[in-house]
Amino acid sequence: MHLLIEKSIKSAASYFQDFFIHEYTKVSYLHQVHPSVKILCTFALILLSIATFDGRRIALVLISLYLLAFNIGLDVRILFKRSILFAAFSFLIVLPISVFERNYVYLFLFPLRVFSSISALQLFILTTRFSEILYGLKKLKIPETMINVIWLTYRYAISMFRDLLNILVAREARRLKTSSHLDTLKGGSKALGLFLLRSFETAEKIEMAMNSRGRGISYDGNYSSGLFYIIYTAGVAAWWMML
Amino acid sequence: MVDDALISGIDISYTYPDGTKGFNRLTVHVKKGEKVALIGPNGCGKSTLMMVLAGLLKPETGRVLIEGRDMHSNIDSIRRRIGFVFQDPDVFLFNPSVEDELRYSLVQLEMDVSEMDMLVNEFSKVFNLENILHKPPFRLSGGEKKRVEVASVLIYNPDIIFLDEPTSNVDGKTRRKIIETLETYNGTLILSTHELEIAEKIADRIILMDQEKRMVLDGGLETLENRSFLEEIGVI
Repeated sequence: MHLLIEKSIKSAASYFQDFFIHEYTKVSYLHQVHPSVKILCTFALILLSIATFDGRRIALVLISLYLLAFNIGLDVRILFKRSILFAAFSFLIVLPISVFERNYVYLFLFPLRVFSSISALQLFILTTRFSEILYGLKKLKIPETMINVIWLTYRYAISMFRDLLNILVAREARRLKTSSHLDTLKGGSKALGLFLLRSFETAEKIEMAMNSRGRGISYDGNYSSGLFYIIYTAGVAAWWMML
Repeated sequence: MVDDALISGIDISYTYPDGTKGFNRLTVHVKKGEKVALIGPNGCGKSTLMMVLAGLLKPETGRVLIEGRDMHSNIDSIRRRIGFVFQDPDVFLFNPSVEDELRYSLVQLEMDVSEMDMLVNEFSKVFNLENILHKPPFRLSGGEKKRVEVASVLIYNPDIIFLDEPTSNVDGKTRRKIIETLETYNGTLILSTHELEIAEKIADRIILMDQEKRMVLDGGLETLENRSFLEEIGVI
């Protein structure tokens, strides 16, 4: 059982570490679209996903997202893998409500909405570097403090999950036999203590690195206006309203 | 499959979550007692290949066998035979003190306390860790961390040791100590390095990898004499 828990934590740490990783091995159409346009279109697609409980409308958004990803050459399996965990989690959350208070349709529609909105978010993350996301937010006149908070959270979250994953991989590499629950708990609590201490150390180092490298956000890539993406999103929204 | 192979990676590939190819469709066999050096430029996939062969990463294609048995389905029984020295000791060290690091594997092997104490004393002397036994590992210097890491693996005497850049970021004294220890090691050893001197001293077989993440040569130490070829693939 404890091995299953440890494996689950490892998978979760790996999932959350990968959650923000930009797919830089490909340069697709969406990679070249201005980040501000992508932020607005993603926001619209998320809104279309969560503003309804009509299965046809959610399916429309979902199909449009995966069709777009496929057409621009992204690996739809990666998009699916990165989005499915939240949907599965939301399925578990709504399971008791659906059984005792609502109906079985709600049990499937709610996770489908989550899946669709996370897929839209992942399509954005896969095709946009984090520095570009911040640049896009800056261009959209989002307050500086909010951008700094997002930047800070991203940096610490990435390093925290990386540290956690490193500890779990090392524990796996150094596990010579299946130990008892008690031993694993003892070892796990020691490792957790060290993980927290190491996180503080890492936070200090990140702060020092930021001080030495500067905190400004700037990016002057040559982007396309993303007219096709705007028209595509508008088309999906129009069809959504007609349904 | 090679009949007398201890570890075999057959047609193995690995891809990272961001789409970066670790390596593609490689086949490698390592015999018992061999000391193999994986040599190649930075980013050629040496570390990833070692992690796959050690059973820490699951290959995307192909399979890893140890004595003909599938590594991943028998991982629990195989693990105690394998030691892995990571390139970055910060990844490896997760216990509250250096002494805990040394004892970590011995406790799992349910060793007798007096025997455990004896081994901890012996290895802390050999690796000059006596004065730092009670310190938390993350407060140590780079060289000290590396010494703790190597000692923590050698202390339980695994049959197979994987070493990922064992002498990176260490001073001359630590480097000499590590080389000296590995020269006398009797088991199977697979190390990755881009330092030819280390490979010459420790290994008896060389596998060269290039920037395209391919295995371009597999042979004896004479492989390292072909300097122009090594220069061409970016090793020197």
